[in-house]
This record gives sequence, structure tokens and C-alpha cells, in this order.
Amino acid sequence: MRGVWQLVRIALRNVVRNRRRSAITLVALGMAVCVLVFLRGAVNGLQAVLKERVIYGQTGVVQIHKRGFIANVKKSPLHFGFPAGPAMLAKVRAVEGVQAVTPRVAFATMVSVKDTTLFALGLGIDPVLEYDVCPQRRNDLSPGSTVSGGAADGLGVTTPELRDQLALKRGDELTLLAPDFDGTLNGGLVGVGGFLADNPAFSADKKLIFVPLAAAQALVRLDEQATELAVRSADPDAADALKQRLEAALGPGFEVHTWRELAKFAVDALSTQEKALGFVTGIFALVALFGILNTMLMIVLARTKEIGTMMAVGVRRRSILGLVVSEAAILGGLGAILGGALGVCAVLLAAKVGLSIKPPGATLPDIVRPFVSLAFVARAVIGAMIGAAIAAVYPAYRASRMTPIEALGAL
Amino acid sequence: MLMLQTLLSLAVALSPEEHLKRYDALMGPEKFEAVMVMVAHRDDDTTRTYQMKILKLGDDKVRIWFNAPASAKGQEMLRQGDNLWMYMPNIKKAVRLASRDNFQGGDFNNADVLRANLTKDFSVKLKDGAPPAGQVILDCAAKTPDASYDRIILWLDEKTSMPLKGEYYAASGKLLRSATFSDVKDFHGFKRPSRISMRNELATKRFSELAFVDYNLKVDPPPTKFVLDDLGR
Repeated sequence: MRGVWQLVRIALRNVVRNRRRSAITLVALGMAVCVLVFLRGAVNGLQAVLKERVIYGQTGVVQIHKRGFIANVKKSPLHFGFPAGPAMLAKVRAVEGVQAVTPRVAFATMVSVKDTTLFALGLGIDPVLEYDVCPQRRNDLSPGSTVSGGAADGLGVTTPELRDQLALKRGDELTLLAPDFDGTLNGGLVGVGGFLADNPAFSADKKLIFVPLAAAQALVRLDEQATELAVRSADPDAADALKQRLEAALGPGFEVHTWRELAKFAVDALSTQEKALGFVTGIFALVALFGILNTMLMIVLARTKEIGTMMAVGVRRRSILGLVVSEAAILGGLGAILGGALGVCAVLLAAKVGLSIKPPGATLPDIVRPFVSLAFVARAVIGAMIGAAIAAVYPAYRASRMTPIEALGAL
Repeated sequence: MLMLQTLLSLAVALSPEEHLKRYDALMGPEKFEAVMVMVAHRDDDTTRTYQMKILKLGDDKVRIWFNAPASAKGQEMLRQGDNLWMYMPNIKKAVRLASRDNFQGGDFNNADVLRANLTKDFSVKLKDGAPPAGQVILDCAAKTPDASYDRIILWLDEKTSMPLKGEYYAASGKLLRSATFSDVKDFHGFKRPSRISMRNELATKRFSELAFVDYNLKVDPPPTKFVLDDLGR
């Protein structure tokens, strides 16, 4: 133990002795770790925005459907309508972990104004309950827009694409023509209560109309029924446990799906981001370790005489190897601590200011607030130390294989 | 006998255009009134029955009144030239439809029922290859974007030009629907197939049957029945 401590002391002295070379190595390693920590923070922030948009803007934490809904994607969702009155909602609310539940009716419709008729996807939402489950939906509305009213006096909102193609303005009256659950066409009138904000970042459905639930139920003749219930819980990461509790409470007639199962595109996006970050991390680690390798080779070369002298006075080869490796580990550790601290500062600053990032397909940027866990920073520091030590094994081996006569004679 | 042979040879010598004109005269005469029943067979083996009355005047004026089921009662359809309208009694409004939209959620499209004259919308030639004995196969290609399909292949009786079956294709060449024409009936001296079965080739368990209960050519519909303002009256 005493020998190891002595080795570390000598290694530390060596780091301090050649300040310039050590400083350059520390800065290089520190920058690499700093960038990695910041990137991790930015990706964390971006993923949080994506998850929030999906969970609190579209799917809820889990959704309840009549059994067979997901497996029969080609069928009209109206084939899977089920009673969703107060009794059903109360039954769902009684399940542990459920904070809020809202009924929805999804349907295909023709939207007509004057002589123009377009196909669109419709979603009937409860004008009050919907925002308890998906509060982000409010942010998706352009200022002053509202989904409100009932079957006779409903106001709906459309996507900007539908607005532009039908030349809609607030207050217009839309005629909806949709097949009911039985395939027979039915008509309905809905006022234009506004439009979705021009930010279709995570909505693939460009022609979309939201109408009050009662208006949708009347249009498709599904009174007091829904095609899905969206549920909110306190912890989206515990969606699987909530799914099991809901399935047990509702019985075999229903199926429950988590947001991860419903929003495959979001899960794919998260996975792609992780892979990209992993690739960048690998590149940074490789460059940093080659830097350490180079530095340690130079150090060994510069200290050939010194190593020869140490060997001449009886220092063992194993100790020489340990000395070089320790020196690299200390350099790696110091650089990583420095870089990690700088990275955390950068993440905190960016979180305070907010990064404006425009996801692909979006017309408006999202404000991303990066964050990083201390565990990740600790892993980065320990990883850098171990990596630096591994990178120094070859130079250390070369140093330990010198003979005193060769080493002393090299100068 | 000689006269009969001459007549037969004349029939055989009909051009594809002449066959198509005879098809149009059978399937969409200048003016008629008919009572139809459409049964839509769904994927889940359930059926839905629609009863309607259809009135036609000239090449491009058609009106339909739905009488059943109760959910469709009072609904009307109107074709005026290239425009199609659906009148919904519950909102007292007419909505413009496309020719290729489904006819009341069944497996016919609107044009199959309201735009049955093919000569105006399609150029025609004989299909390559030998047809079955006593039949002629017409290959019809759409010449207007309002045509019901991009391509139709029709099997007709060589002598009468009565349709036997049809295949209806998208621009991509994909088979969308296929039809069989059967049960030739004499409606007040006018013979035509009284039953058309249309199979949805994209959802092969689905098909719809359109049966003509009555078909009367001796009508004189007033043009005022074919204007938007008359819908719902």
C-alpha cells in the first residue's frame, strides 16, 4: 500500500513538473469531457420535450381501447366504440395512480365549406377533461382558439393546412360528412373556433380537425361512447405498472397501451438520439485517448535517461509501468473533473437561458432546457481515468522494457 | 336464315366503341326511373341494406332519394354535369362529393351509380388476347380526371353487349374492385342485368350487391328535379 502511495506521489510530481505538457493534455481531455456532458444534457432536454409533447400533448400516459383496436388498424375506429359515460370514467379514476381520464372519438370525415370538400381525420375531445390529461394541447392552439360547446353549438379547431386549403377564418361554419359506426353517412355542423398553432412538430396528420366530443358522438352516432380513453398518471416512467392495474380493473374486454407502445415514432426518435450520442461519445473518447497515448509516448521518450537511472538504482520494471500508467490516470482524472465541472456549468447556464431548437418538420422552435445527472458526470470522470490508464499501457510497457545501459546510452 | 347470319356477322363486326355505346344504352339509358336495393356486406359478416329511388335525365343529370335504413332516410344525391352533391336532411345542407368516394359506405363508388355512361369518360380498345367464346373484352382507359377509375376491363356478351363482369383499376395498375353482372330481367320491355355484385379487392371480405327492383324508361323527369335548390323538397 505504501508502495502504491509512493508511486502516486511520484506520478503527481511528474504531472506538476512538466506543466506545459500537462496543461495541454488536461485542456484537451477537459474539453472532450465538457462537450460530452453538455451534449448529454442537451439530448436529455430534447428528449424531455419530445416525451412531454407526446404524453401531455397527444397520447396521455396510457390509453384504453376496446380489445382488438390496435390489431385491427385497417378497420374504422368506430367499430371499437364503447360506453364511456360517468360510470366508466369513475371506474378508471378509481384505479391506483390515475390522476385524470378523458374520452375521445376518432373518426374519418369530409370537411366541406362552400364548394370545396376535403378528407380529414377528426378527433372529438371533451372540452374540459382533455386538458386535464393533455395540458400541452392548450399550447398547440393558436392564441384565442378554442374547442368548446356541444353537439348543436360546437366550435372546433383545424390544422393550418386545412385552414389554408379551405380558406377558413374564425367564425366560419364547417359541414362535416362522416360515415357512422355502421357505414351510413351522416352530416354535422361545427363552427370554426380557431386553429392549431403552426407547429406540427410531432403531428403527421396534416389534415386534422378537433371538435367537441358531443359533436363527434352525434356525427358518428355513438352516443355516450368513445373510441379511446386517455389517462394521465403522476409518473410516465411507471406506465407499464399502470397498464397492468388498469387491465386488471377493466377485464378482458379492453386493452391498455402505454405511450411508448402508441407513439412508436417518438420511441424511434429517442433511440436514434441515443445512438447518435453514443457514436459521438465514441469518437470523442477515441480522439482523447489517442491524445493521452501520444502524450505518454512523448513523456517516456523525454525521460529515457531518467528511467534508465531509476532502473540502474534498482527500481523494478513493474514499478516503472505503474508510474507511467498512474501518471496518465491522474492526467485523465484531473482533466475529466475539470471538463465535467465546466460541462455541468454550461448545462446549468443553458437550462437557465433555454436552447431554441427546431425539430425536423417543425415551423417553430422548441425551448429545450438541458439537464444532466451527477451519476453521468461521475461515470464520465471515472471512464476518462480508466481510459487514460488503458491508453498509457503501451507507452508504459515500452518504458518498462528498456535496459538501463540502453536508456543511459540513448542520450 | 341468311338474314340471321348477316345480322350475326354484323354483331361480330361491332367496333369496341360501338360495344361501349350499347353498354351505355343498357346500363345508363337517356332517361329512366328505378328502384334499387344495395346490400353492403362488411368484414365482420354483417350486412347493411339501403333502399333508394334513382331518376336520370340526359347524359349528366341523376338524382337519388334514400328511403332506408332509417339513418339514411331523407338523404339525397344529385349529379349535375361533373358535380356530385350529397344532401343531409339533419343539417339541411348539400355537400359536394368526389366521383371516386364510396357510395354510402358500400363498395361501389359514386360514379359507379351516378356516372354509369363510360363513352364520355373512357377511350376504348379490344383487350389483347383471345376472349372466351361468345364474349368480347373491352379495355377502357380514362380520358378525363373525373372518370370513375383509371382503367376498366369489361367482359361483354358479343351479341348483345350485355355486361358479364368488370375489373376496375387505379392509375398504379392495382385492381380496386371487380364486378359481376347477373340476373337479366325484362323491365317493362327493357332487358338488362338486374343485379350487380361489386367486390372490394383491397378488403376482399367486403362486397356490395345492387339489385334493381324496378326499372322504367317511360318517364319524363322535369329538369327542375336536377337543381341544388330542389334537394330536400
